[in-house]
Amino acid sequence: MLLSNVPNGKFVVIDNIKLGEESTTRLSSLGLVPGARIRVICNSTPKTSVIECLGARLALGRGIPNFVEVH
Amino acid sequence: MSTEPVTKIKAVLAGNPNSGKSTIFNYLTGAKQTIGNFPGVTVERYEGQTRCDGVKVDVIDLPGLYSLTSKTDEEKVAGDYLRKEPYDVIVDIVDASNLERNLYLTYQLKELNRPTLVVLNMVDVARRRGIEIDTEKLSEALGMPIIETVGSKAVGIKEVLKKMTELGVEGRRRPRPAPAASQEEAQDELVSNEDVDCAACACPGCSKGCARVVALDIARYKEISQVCSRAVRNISPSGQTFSDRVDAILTNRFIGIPIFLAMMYVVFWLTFTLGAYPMDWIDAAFGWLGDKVAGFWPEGAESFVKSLILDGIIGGVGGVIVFLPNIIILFLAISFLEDSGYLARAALLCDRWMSKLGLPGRSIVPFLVGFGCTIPALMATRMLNNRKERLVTLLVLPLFSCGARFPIYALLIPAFFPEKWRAPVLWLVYLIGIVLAVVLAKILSVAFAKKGEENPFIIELPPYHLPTLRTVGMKTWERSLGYLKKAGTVILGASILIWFLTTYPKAVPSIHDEINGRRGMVAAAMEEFPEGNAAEVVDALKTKFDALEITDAEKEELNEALDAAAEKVVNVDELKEKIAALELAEADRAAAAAALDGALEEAEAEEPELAAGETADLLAELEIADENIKENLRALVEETAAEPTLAADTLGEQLGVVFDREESQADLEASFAGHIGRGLEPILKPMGFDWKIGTSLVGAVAAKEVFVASMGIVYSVGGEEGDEERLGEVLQSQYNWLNAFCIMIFALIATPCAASIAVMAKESGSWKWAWTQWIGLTVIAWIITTLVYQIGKFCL
Repeated sequence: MLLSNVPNGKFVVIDNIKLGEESTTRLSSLGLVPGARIRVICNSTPKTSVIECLGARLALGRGIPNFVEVH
Repeated sequence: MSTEPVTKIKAVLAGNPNSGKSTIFNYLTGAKQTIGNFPGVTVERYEGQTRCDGVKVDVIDLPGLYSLTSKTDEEKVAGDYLRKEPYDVIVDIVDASNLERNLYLTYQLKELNRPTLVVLNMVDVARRRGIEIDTEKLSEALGMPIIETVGSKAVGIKEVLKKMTELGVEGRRRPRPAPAASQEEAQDELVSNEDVDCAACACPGCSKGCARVVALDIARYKEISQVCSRAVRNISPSGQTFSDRVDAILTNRFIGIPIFLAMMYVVFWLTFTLGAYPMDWIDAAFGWLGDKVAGFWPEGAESFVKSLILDGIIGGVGGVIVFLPNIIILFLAISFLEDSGYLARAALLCDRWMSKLGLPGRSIVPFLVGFGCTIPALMATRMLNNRKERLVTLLVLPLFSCGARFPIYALLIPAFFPEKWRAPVLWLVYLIGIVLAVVLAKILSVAFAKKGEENPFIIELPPYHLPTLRTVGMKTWERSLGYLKKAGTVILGASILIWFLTTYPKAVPSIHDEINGRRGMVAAAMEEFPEGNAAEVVDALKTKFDALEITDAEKEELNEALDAAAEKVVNVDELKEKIAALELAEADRAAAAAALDGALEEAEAEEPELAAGETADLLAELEIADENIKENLRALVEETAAEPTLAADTLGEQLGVVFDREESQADLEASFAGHIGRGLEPILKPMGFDWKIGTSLVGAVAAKEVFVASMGIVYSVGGEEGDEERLGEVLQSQYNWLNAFCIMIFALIATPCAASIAVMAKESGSWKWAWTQWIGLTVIAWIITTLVYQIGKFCL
């Protein structure tokens, strides 16, 4: 399932991230690595997800959620 | 290991954004701070000094960073500094309420193998959230000393200073290993090449490098989570936090943007409405200073030094300082929004729209500020941390029509457009600016984009909190001081240059002699007719002017001025006598006299002479019940004005103003600016501009609002209240609405003022960009104005 399709409030685990090098490493430095458990806070704005990861709140925009696979 | 006593150490503050780093820095160093830039980039660098146990401690506050390998401007600068520069101790500020995320950087710093002190900040917030941290266990697991602090209340600062000095002294004695090498070593220990799983990241065309970075991060986070499970007990009831509830409103899909716009409106209002008061005071103070200084020279004496000090220096310094209230208020507001956590939400809200232009959501803030004044708007781009995005924002900012252009619109629109068209025309001018900015931003961001470059939008939304006055105040103070020091000197220089161009060379002395001759003539005429009728004096002067060896047009001008001057003169004493002589009922007469006295009082005029128009206006305003008396009074005023007794001073004064204007016109024509204006005429012609507009535009390089004053000088109107309307009338007789529209379009697109060029150079980090912007905008202004004029002319 893609991150962009996860309903609000649900916990998911990241499978993989199909983005370019810069985005991937940036996400991984913030703890968004395969195996990380995250909570989707708000998925109601197009192309943007607000998630909680390691207790911090992150906004991922510009379509990034469409390239993050979760289960 | 050396045993010499260490007297000086260098400490580096590192930490995630929003970890309270600046607050700790401010408490550590107090007021002893300097603000500079990292070489080659425009990222701010704060340095401060303090002392502890006889050791001088240099403290450097690095920009906040999440990771040593990050690619954004600020983080890259901080990461490079930590990996390459010499220092003795790292003070790692960790947000205790967000421990896992913050420990990631701590683990990366650990790999550098330098003495590191972990400052566990905001422990009060963590406790409130039910997070209990066993500092001893954590310190043991990290292999680093830890000190708990509450930055907002200055708790634990002394301990931090003591411990970091201790570690720093130790670090100074210890040989410094090459951080890069130790980093490599530590990372090899963490992840062997077999661990690198390319499938895990699956990025297109993945290099092993990327997968290794991800593998390292996985390993780091695994360790962090193990450490945290041992040292941290989270007993927080999971559920909606305060930030959750606030976010539900502020980032709501539908009302989020309106709330943001309302907040920006408040920022605007504070900046420009509240800022207008201190601006007026500054203006008045410099006006007063100018008058005082002018008093040192005998009346009428003109000299280079006087003009330089009055118009060049005092005017120039005033022009720098006058922006200060705006800058201070704006930065207070922005720092507050930034530190409170709101700006990150605003960036999120606007990103959807702004990213279509290739710009981040945060760019909206400088753009909106730009409608007020370009200077603080340019400075506000500091909140953008991507160099490319910041540059594009800086470059297009002047297209958002600033307040200084408004006087030009306010002069031209009422003069050339009928009532019902005024608002739409003003709206159109602003809209043209916005559309151009959008188009230019899109073009620039495409042009600047490197091939294959990604532009990810990933931001942290920090929990809301009330910023401390100290941090917000310090930030604002430093930035304002930076503006004064760096931009100020350049702006002053530019003002002096423009002053010189518009003032020198003076008109040939013969012109001044001639005008002085006319002054003498008027004075002599006055002597001859001390109590004479104005009409007689005017006739005598006309005869004298007629004998002068000047062109007919000039004679005409002088005669007109003479008539105009004579018309203005009314002797109120005489008027009173006439009222007394009228066959009026006693009560009416008393009422009329009282009305006249009232009129005089209202005009606050003690002199017996009053301009006819003014008297009539005042009488009309007064509440006299009897229409007959009012009518009689009005007739009397007109009658008296038609055949005024000459009040020598008044006529002399009136003509003096005319002569002064003639002199300034001659001077401006003869000045370098006048020559430039004439020289530029071939270039200006396609836009429908003549040399007079050109000369005014040269003056307007200093500041757009100067254009109106320059046009006033060129057309010999100005310097008095209500003259703007007259200037409008004069312009109406010379130009048509298309010319007026073209002037507005040109003023809109061309760079707003010399100050903005200086600030642009400072903010973009190079004069190259400042000149590129200036030339680029001028060329675009020329092209578009020419197009508008030529098409308009064709259609008319």
